[in-house]
Amino acid sequence: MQDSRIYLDNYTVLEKEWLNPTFYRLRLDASTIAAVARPGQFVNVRVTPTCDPLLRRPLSIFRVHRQSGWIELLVKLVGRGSRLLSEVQPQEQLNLLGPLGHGFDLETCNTALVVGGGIGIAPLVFLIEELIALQRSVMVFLGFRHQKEVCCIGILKNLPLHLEVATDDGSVGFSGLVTSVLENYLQTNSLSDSTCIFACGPTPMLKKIDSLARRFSLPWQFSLETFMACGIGACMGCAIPAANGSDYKLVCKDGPVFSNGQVKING
Amino acid sequence: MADLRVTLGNLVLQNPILTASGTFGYGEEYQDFVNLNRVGGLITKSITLKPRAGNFPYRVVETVGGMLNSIGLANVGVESFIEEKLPFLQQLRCAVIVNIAGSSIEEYEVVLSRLEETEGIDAYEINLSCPNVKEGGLTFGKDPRQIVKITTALRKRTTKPLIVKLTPNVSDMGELAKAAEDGGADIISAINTIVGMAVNVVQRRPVLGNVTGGLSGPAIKPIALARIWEISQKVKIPIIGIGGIFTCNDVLEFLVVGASAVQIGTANFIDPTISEKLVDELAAYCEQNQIARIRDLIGTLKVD
Repeated sequence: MQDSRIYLDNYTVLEKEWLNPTFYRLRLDASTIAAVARPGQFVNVRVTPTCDPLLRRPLSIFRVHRQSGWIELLVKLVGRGSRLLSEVQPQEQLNLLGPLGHGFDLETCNTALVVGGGIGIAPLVFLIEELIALQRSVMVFLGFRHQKEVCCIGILKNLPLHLEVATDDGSVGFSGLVTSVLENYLQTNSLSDSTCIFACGPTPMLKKIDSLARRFSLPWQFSLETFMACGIGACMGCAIPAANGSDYKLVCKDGPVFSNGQVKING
Repeated sequence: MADLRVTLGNLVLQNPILTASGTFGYGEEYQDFVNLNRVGGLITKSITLKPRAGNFPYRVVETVGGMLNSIGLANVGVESFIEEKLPFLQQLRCAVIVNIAGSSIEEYEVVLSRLEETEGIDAYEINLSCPNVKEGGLTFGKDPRQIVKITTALRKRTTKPLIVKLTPNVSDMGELAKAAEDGGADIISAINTIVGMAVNVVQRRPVLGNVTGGLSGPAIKPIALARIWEISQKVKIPIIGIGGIFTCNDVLEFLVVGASAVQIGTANFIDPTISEKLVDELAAYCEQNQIARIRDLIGTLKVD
């Protein structure tokens, strides 16, 4: 039975580190959240105690250390909210609501193909660490725009996994799309019944993975995002089209992790 | 202890803090955060005859000091509401108010009559003002004659308090409120959201799937206060104020202008505990300022 407790509290920032010119990592003293969080879940973060910007920002849980009681968030600088959040200093507090949503289902997967595009890596490191703790075989495929964006390699390189990196300009690793690396892997390796794909990243990447998964008859689990307000399934604001075409799923409550057959991936 | 009770016609609330329709789900979503027995009342999502999936995304987008939504009255429909959602609400000691929406006068009548067969509902809020759905009541909600007609029809079907929720997207809200009063409404609630829009310049497309949406949040508070003032000049029935309330001072502003109670909406998304907090802060304010009864503040605005 999974613990579905949701906490709403102020948590102290322990560390802030820029991992590249636009991605930063926040470590928070949040033992309550760390104790129950599962890979793929998120927290809804207030970036200011004022009303501007108004809404919380839904952010994936990047890493968790249960014994030490901390959680980490990986944030990309994109707008006012992420800029304000980047100005937070250690010892200051942030108001978090979480952990929220359904995480990745790790049960049926023995060989995990984990694919991240850009900031899409945010929910995947916690997943990778958990898969390795469960002694699963893990292949990681990470795509970035260029060398300046590449991040998290230091965290991953000492783990027992196979890592492939692609950059759009070829400045690091494969030159081209990460999905090409994945496609090559799928064509040249024998796939077991318990192989599955976990991914998070831009929609065109997910669309391509969806078509590869169909071709190779593999199940996938994608972590998705959209504009969101409450984060707890009350406002119905974060709806995305369901696979059946006539209904909707809520990213905050039904997701943010969805599996093939649940939702439509629109490019 | 200050007396926080307020009386709105035949609706007595233990305090003037209600949670607004569409921002509080069916109540159960907030039970981990709020002791629901401590708020004045809870207003459900709009209930329609049949389940509704809602509008095509995006459905929400943040704007300066506010947010736009075009949810499209997504709800489980009256039968599932009665079966799955009402039992939770029936256990609550706060006022339980069910919001009703429909595409025809008959649909409102059918839904209300069906709810009349159940226990545990203290009042109805009639949504005549959803800006995001063609059939969301706004067809009637901008026309005083239609408001009289629908209010009269529903008045015949219940003795419980009838609250009519009005749109601000007209030039004279007083006229709409008067029509609801003439039709037999017990209470006016205002304002619903203000029609607004956000544009993605790169794509040259509207951000919301529905093109336009309803603006809510602190950005609309001054407008809401002015409209409630406008309505209070036209009708004798009590008003429930809605629009961007975040703080105890905001609540007090609405009461002074003439609202007998208020609804907390968008603020629930930012702080899910806010409705209960505001009850505490209101009590503390009364203590500090030797106000024995909160109702003595209602409509005390001096304009001379």
